[in-house]
Amino acid sequence: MDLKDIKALIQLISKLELKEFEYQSADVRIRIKNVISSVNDQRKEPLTVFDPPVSAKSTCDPEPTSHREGLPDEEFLSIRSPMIGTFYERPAPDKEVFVKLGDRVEAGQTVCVIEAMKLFNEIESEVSGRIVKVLVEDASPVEYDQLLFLVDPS
Amino acid sequence: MHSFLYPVYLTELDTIDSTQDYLKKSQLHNSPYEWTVAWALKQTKGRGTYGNHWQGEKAKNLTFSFSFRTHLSARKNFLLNICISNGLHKRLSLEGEGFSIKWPNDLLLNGRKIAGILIENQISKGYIQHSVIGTGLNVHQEKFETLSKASSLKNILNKTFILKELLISLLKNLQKEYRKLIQGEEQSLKNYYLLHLFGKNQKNYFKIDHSIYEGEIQGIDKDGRLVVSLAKGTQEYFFPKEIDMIY
Repeated sequence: MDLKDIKALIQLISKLELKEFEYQSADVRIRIKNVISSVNDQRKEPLTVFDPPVSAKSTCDPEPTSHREGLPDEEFLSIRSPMIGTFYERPAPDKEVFVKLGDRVEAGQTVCVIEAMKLFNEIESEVSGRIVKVLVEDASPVEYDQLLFLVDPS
Repeated sequence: MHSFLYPVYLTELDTIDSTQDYLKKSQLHNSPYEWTVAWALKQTKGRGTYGNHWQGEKAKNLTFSFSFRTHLSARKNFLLNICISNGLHKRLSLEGEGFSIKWPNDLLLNGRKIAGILIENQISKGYIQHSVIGTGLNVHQEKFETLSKASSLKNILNKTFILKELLISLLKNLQKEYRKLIQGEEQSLKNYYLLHLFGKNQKNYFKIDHSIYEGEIQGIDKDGRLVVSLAKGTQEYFFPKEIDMIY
């Protein structure tokens, strides 16, 4: 598989609007995660992650600059989970959500609760801006350092 | 009241919706090391974990919350569970035998639930900045209709207590354990917790994902998950909602 094949593959995945694609053969492994289209619908080009074994590196080394362009980390600020646990978007089942898509958050504002072994942790945002993506569903498990929200600081 | 390790500011309330909400709403930004305590004779909306309600008759039980500023790594938050459980267990064990800690943070006496803990932290920049901890201890309540596995100190030990004295003495014990936590005595805290962990190294039945399995609690992992070796030969790690011990 050469760069041309990979480009064709990316185009196909983008066209099909797949969120994630993984391909593995004897000497190459390709994982493509389509993050951009879910963050910003105007950009349909998927973010690609290549993870080839060292021996196959020369055959499918991507041009890093073109693929890193538009990475969410560079455009947006992130709010991550400081612990493993369960993500809750509201303080109690009968209460309003802390924040929703499009809301403006200020540094120091509580954005969610992470329940870890029956300890309830109100997570404060370290950044200010507008919530452009909520990446975790209510009551779902989260890992340490998992991305929870993307915030547009502009 | 002079032998506290950290200064205590106690508010005594007759009836309140919840001591936990009272402390959270009052937005008291304690100075470092100060403990603010709210004790109520009756809570009308006593809170258990995430929306569960805790019920008790007026002045029969000990219901209080305390809050303090801190600076503990969020990744070590389970140690708070351990130090609070240990503090209650140590003080109550002076009254008799049969107390144990049920993972993650209930207190049992002869297998009956006698105390529950609710810990709410405020986390910023990866650190716990502020903790509000609620405790409900069944002291003199004699009837337990809705909670069949609950009991009280009086029912089992046949003793009565002066609530305020018990509160002061519990707080002193909790502060001792908390000091261990901030001084980094993690291993000794963990050892005590595991030594008194209900069901550890005993064959028990567990409800996991709608099925019943036989297994043995081995301990907890660094994140506080329960480690259980199942009779089918695997060792597995559980969050509180994933497993129920049948006892």
